[in-house]
Amino acid sequence: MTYVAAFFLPSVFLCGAVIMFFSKKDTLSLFLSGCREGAKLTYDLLPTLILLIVAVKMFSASGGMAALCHAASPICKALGIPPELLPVATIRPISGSGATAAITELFSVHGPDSAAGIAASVLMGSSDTILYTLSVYFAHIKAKRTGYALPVSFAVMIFCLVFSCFIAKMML
Amino acid sequence: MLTKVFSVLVSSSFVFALLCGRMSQLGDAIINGASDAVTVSITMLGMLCLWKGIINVLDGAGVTKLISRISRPILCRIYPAAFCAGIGTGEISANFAANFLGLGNAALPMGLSAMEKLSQNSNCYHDMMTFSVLATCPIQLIPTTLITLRSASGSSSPYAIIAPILVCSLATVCFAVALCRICAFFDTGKRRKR
Repeated sequence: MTYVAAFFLPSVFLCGAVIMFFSKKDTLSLFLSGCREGAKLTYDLLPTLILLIVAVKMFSASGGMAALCHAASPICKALGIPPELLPVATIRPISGSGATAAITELFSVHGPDSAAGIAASVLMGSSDTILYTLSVYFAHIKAKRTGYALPVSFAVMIFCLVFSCFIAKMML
Repeated sequence: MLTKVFSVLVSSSFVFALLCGRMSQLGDAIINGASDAVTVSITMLGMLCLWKGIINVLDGAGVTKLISRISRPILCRIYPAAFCAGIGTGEISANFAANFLGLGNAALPMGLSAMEKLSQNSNCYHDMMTFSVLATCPIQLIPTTLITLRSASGSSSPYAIIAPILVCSLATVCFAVALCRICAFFDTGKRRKR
């Protein structure tokens, strides 16, 4: 299956190469102007990234993340979420690399085929880092207000968490 | 939104650091965080440039139009206003397709240009909200990184999670769209009163 997945990326590039060979348009200048846009995009996003990444780093270094996990544990018990899952669940919306570290830790302690391991895998596979995605998207269109996007995203994340625990229970 | 998130995170981490006595770690985090952000964007720079270029070529050949025609039946239910007026449909569908195939790096530039197009039309405000919410829970056919992590930790069946993830993703997306519709309903109600 991973072998099939490995096909996707090179196939897209093969597609591009074939088009560049046969197309009568000036594909090289299309490619170059796209590249230039990409560079400008990264440059424009850098200030937002600095703001966000510094804040997230500070929060996890100060022990705030651990305190959040501790505070959330009684609520999670009531919802039927295994407490082992909490570090992954709390860090998932905030930091992508943090979530990868947390899930590796969970796998090594509880094993990837345990109930918590399966629930964490399902959660990890069907959610993404909310803060990063929303700030990059809204910074790009220079919107100061994000409307109801942030609260709805967090509600969706909680739904995803509860549902992945439910699925893990069904599987075992 | 970002300024509020930033101030809440920073001030709460100051309080936590004070309580836990981790002030020096906090200082390190500030210094490292800024340079980490630069490292992240340098890694992004290469991929983003390459993808933007390739997407431009594919777009010139009409591939994104083809993808949008194929995925139209599903996506026009989720983004009615955008698909009705034909705003950013190519980008939305290409973003969806890239996420589905696990090409997250390609999905980002498409998502950004879709947001740009949606934001230019006030009728598409709610579709833009839905789009940004769905960007936080993308559907991925084969989560390669996760499978690699699982097999590295000695799982007996690293692939067993593919079907459950798809089920969970679908349920999450349905929930997200429904919640966005409810919010949009109350939001327009509030706007009319003003």
